[in-house]
Amino acid sequence: MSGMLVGGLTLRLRLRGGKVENVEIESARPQAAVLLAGRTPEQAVRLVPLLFSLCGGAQGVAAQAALQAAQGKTPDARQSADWAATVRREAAAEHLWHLMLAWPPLYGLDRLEREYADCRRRLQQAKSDDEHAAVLANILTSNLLDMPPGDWLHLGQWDAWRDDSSSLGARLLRGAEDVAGVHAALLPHTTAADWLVLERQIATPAYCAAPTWQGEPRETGALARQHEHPLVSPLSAVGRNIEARIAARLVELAQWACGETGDACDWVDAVRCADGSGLARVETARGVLLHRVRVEHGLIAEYAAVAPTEWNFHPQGAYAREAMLITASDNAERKARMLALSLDPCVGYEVVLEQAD
Amino acid sequence: MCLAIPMQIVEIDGYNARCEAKGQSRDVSLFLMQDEPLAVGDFVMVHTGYAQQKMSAEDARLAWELYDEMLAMLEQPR
Repeated sequence: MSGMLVGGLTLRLRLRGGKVENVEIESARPQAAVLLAGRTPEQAVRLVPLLFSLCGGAQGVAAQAALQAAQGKTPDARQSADWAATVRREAAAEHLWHLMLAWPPLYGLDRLEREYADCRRRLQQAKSDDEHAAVLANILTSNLLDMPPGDWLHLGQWDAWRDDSSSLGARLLRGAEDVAGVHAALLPHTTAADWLVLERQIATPAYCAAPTWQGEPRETGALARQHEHPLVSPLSAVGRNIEARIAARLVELAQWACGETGDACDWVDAVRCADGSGLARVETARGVLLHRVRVEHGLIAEYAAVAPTEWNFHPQGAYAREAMLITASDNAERKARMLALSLDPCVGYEVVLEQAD
Repeated sequence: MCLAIPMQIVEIDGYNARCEAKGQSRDVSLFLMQDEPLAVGDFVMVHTGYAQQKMSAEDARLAWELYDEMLAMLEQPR
C-alpha cells in the first residue's frame, strides 16, 4: 500500500572496483508539518502527536512550546519540568527499544521482546522522576550492563568490561563492525535562541529536508551530546563511530538512571522570533528537533519542523560520508545496515547495494 | 519523520494480530501491549511491525486524513 511507504528512506550504495563510488539517499518523506497550515493552534497540538507518533511526546511538546512562544507566553517552572520529563522518558524508551529490539537481530541474537515489554510497562507506571530513574537503573543492571549504572559510569576501565562482560551492552559494542577513519561532524549543543539566525531558512521546505549548521550537514543525537564522555571520545577519535553511537546511548541511559538529567531547558526551550513566529528546540533520543510556527488571526499561517533524521541522513551527511568508506571486501551490506541503524532513522528504510561494474 | 501507521485490528491470535488500513493488511505483533486489553475492531498505531499504542477511532480517522493529504502531496509533480 502506498500509505505504508509514506516517510521511508532508500539508502542506495553503488560499488565499483570493490569500493563504494556513490551513496544516494532517497527520501519519500513529505514535509508533513505544512499540513498544519490553516488549522487552529489547538488542532495542531492534537494532530502533531498523531502525525509524528513514534516520538509523539517530543513532537507534542515542541508544538506546544513553539505555539506558546508565538503567543508571547513563557512556560512556568512546573510546565518546563513536565515537558522535560515527557521528552526524557520518551528518549529512554527509544534508547531501550534501539538497544534491546533493533540491534540484536543484526548480531544474530534474539530481540529482547519480553524484557522490553516488561521495561516499557514498568517505566510507564513510574509515578515520579525518582521512581523512573530507579526502574531504569534496575533495567540497565538486568538487561544491558550486568552491573548498576552508577558503578558502570565510574568504571574507568571500559575496555575490560567491553571485552569480558556477557551483558548485551558489551556484546553490542564488541560486535560493532566499524567503518573506521572518518571523524563525525557533530552538531554542537544549541539553545532555541541559537537557531534564530537560521529562522527564515527553517521556514523553507528545502532547509527542513536537508538542514545544515554553519553551512554544513552535521550529525545530531547521542554521539553529538556525549562525544566528550571518556567512554565515547576514544572511540569517536579514531572514527569508530558505530561503536561510539552505541556507547553514547548506554552512557545517556546510565546517566538518566543516576538522576543526571540536566536542567529542563537542556531538553526543551523556545523563543519568539522577530516576525512573531515561535521557534522550539527539543532534544530527543535521535537528536535535535525544531518546530517553527507562525500564527495569524488565530490560525496557523506557517508550520515547519526539522527532525533528527533529516540531519543524519542528509545527502552529504553522516550516513553518506561514512558509507563511502565501506569496501566490497568487508561485508558491505552488513556494514551499510549497521551504519544506518547506528544513526537510527525514525522511519522504515531499505539498504540497496548495486554493482556498477 | 517519525511516522507510524494507524491500523485496525481484524483478527487476534495470541500476541499476533492481523491489522488493516486502506484495504491492505499486515501481521502485527501485540507483544508490547500485553497489559492493554485489545479486541478486534480496535485501532492501534503500528511501527516496524509492533503495535505501539491504542488509539481512538476518531484519532485514527484524523491521522488517516492527514496521511491522505501527505500522499496527495507526494503524488504531485515536484
